[in-house]
Amino acid sequence: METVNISAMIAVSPVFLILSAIFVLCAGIIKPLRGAECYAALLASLVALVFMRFPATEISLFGGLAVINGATALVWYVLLTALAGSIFVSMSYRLQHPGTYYFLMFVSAAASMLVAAADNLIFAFAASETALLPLYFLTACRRGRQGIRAAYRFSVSGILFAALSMVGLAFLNYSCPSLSFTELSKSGLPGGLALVGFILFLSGFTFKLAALPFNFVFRDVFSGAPGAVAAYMASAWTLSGLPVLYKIYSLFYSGPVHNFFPTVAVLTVAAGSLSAFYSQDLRKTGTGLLCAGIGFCLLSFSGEKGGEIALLYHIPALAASAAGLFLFSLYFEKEEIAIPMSGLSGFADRHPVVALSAAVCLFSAAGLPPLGGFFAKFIILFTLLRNGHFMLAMTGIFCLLFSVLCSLKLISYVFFSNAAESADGAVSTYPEQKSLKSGRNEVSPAVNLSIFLLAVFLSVYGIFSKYFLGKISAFF
Amino acid sequence: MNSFTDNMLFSLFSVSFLAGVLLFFIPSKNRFLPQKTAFYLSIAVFVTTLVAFCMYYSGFRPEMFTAVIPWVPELDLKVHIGTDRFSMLLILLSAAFLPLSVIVSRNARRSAGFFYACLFFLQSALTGLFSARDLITFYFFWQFSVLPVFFLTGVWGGKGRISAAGKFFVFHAVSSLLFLLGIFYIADNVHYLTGKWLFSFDAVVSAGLSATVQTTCFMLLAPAFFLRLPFFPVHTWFTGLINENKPGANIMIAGIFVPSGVFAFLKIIMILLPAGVRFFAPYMVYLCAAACIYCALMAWAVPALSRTIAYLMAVQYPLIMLCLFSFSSDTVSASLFHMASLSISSAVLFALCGAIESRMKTPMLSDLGNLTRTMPWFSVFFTMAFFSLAGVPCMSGFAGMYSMFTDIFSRFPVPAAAAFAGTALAFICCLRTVYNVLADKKKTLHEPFTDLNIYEICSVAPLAVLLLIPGLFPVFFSNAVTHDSIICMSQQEQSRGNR
Repeated sequence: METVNISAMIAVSPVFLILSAIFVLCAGIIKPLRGAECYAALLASLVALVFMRFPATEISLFGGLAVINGATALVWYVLLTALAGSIFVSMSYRLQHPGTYYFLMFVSAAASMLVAAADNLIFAFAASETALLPLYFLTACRRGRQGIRAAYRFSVSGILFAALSMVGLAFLNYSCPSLSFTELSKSGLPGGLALVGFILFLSGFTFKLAALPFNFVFRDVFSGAPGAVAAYMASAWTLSGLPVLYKIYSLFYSGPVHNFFPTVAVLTVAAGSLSAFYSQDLRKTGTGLLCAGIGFCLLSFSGEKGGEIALLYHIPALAASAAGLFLFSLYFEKEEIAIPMSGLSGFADRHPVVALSAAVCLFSAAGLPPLGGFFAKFIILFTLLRNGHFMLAMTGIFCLLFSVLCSLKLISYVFFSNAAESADGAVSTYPEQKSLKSGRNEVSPAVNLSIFLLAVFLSVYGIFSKYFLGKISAFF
Repeated sequence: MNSFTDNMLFSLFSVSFLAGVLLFFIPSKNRFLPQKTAFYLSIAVFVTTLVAFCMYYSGFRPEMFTAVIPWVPELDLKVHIGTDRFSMLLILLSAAFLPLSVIVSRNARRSAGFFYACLFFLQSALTGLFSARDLITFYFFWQFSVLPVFFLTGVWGGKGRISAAGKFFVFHAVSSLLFLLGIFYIADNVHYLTGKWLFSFDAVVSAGLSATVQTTCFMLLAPAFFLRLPFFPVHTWFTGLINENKPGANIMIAGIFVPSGVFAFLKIIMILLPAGVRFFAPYMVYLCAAACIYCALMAWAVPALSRTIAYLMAVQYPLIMLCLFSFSSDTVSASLFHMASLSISSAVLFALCGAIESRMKTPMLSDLGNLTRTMPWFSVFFTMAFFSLAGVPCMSGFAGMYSMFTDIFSRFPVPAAAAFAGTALAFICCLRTVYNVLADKKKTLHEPFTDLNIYEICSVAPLAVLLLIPGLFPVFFSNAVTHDSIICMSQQEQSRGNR
């Protein structure tokens, strides 16, 4: 009985986040708390994280609209960690309205948690839109014209695809008696209007995941958003849609809806890897690698039961590596400028630990050993093979090549460039470095610490993959 | 043995890895702290490995040297680790080269801790590689070993380091992904034949893959191994890397990273895919012969000492491969013996290159001469290592080379004759280099160099002795590898039988 009670505490997390959101919003008008919003927000996010528990049994919320199980709890862990990390990093921001900023982050996180737990299409859509709305504002909150442009593109395309999803839902609602996943699975293969409904819904929902062709929208969004927000979006918000998509995939064992996923997955991996490879901009490279990682997550769907384990193992690795890369971009963040890779030259000389930590995140995203990303991608490819999808596995391997080569480019700039003359002596400063250094924002120690912790996590997650995989397998 | 922690091989891997992690965090502001720590840690790694080596050879608790550990039970994925005499010898060599590379790299200043950490990570990865007994573990360590070399070259290399590191990384990335594809293809076929997803070497041998599958897998896997060897025409990364790298890194790269390609060819291609080897052998032997001649000619042409050594090494590896294609246990054991000897002589030569480089910034052959008078210790070791590389009688290189040629002449007369011509050219090039560097009195050096210091002598001397003793008592030492080559050939026969 006690176990059930402790497990049930997990259900309180989204409610706690909403309460925290209201609290930080109101903190600005309470005189003693003014200026302490960031600490309150960090404390609240940490409390939510500390009190998270993996449920012993499946817990149903809101009359069956949402279900919490081990897999959902894992995604919630990732979300809350990303939230706490983003708040921690945002503490160094000089925000005009910190209460509003943290309020928006909490609302988005709480809604994303509900998306991950959704067991009903309408609920998933509503939660997804609730999570999306604050992000439109957060994207624009700090970076002037570039941020506003990014937010504008983000909101216009977001609304467009929300409309698509809504039309899809309307069609589905007309054809099916209930839109809960349990009922949908009983209704058999969709045809006619229901099929159109599914395709429209999925077209809108894959927007949330930055899957192809929406990765091009997200290139601009992630480039324009503040680093902490981009890191949060990449590591938490985009990944929270994966459980819903997996549930939709699991509804049918054949047919167009089933076949939609491998096709999108392959295209997403290919587009992400190629885009990362060809980008000359750190944020865009990060977006490309994230997109390729999401493509791998979608590929894992075809791995059936093994694929579930692979997916759940991949999510934290992908989240950590994406967050690490976007946080790393904070070193080069300056209003109205892109972050060209040439600006990274000689970075390792000035910040060796941060450079290596960023390299760890990058190598994990590219799938190099001994990091979490390598094992995750390997298991995904292996489960594809086990289920007879040799061609899918082969495509994944070829796309990996571009991700790996992309890491070469970035590492060359960070570690190798502009260091020839200083190879045997003290670090020399080049005019190029000087100009970048003088024009760059100061980076808080919170960013250093966050990137370092992410790198440590990715290393431990990879080296002790046996332990983590064992824990994940226990969910099934 | 059901856990990693009870396993000696895992301990060896962990010791180096943790030492690398520790070194990375040592502040480099104090120049001597990372260097001293790295030296003591390298000695600790060597001593631990030596103890493990003695335990293995004495047969003490053999269960500590093998393990099958479930990794993902739901997917039937297991980690198989184990060792044999040859693997243990290579592990010991990798640990022995570590203190040597640390001593040679004592002048490293920029991010010294990271530099030494990369050396330790490389040793750790190679220990894992030599212990792997399944394709996944092998692939993991194979890939992992690329990263330290990439950083060693890219960060601490010379002026052309970025292109050298880039070429190395691109070559390895492409070949490694083909390798991964090959692993999946093997696993798919093993599953088709046995109904199980098995990756261990023994399981693949037992499955009896068809000749067509083996031939296809050979095409997927062999590029990765040939690349690492380095094998003509994909050897350019090696000579470029050697030219740009610090000598300390070169010791590890030439001494043990490159031989891991031969190890991989022996343990994976030769045993798991014998039909593929037999299919391609008639063509590959000619390529080996061409590679011998080409690299020997290049050794004559290049001006830098380190590059000359690199090309002289690149002459020997195709010769070793030629022997492996012969499928005779005697020739295979001779080639393994020669590889071990080559590994030691290259380590000694790069250590001496480092000694010269610390005294003179650019060790071009044209700038060196008449060093015998001022550097007697250097001259002795340099001569021994070059003579061993050339295959002069009484040196360890001779014993291996003699056995190899006697056998391959009877099997592949034309390629063997061509390879012999290449080796003869390399032999003359070795003698010319020794003469130019040590005895050419026409060259006058602007400033006299000091001889090797006590640390350098102490680290090079044991290896130099190892170059001499096996040459004097070849039978005793070749027994160490003969056992493994017989096992290798018998496994190969078993694989053919199953098919």
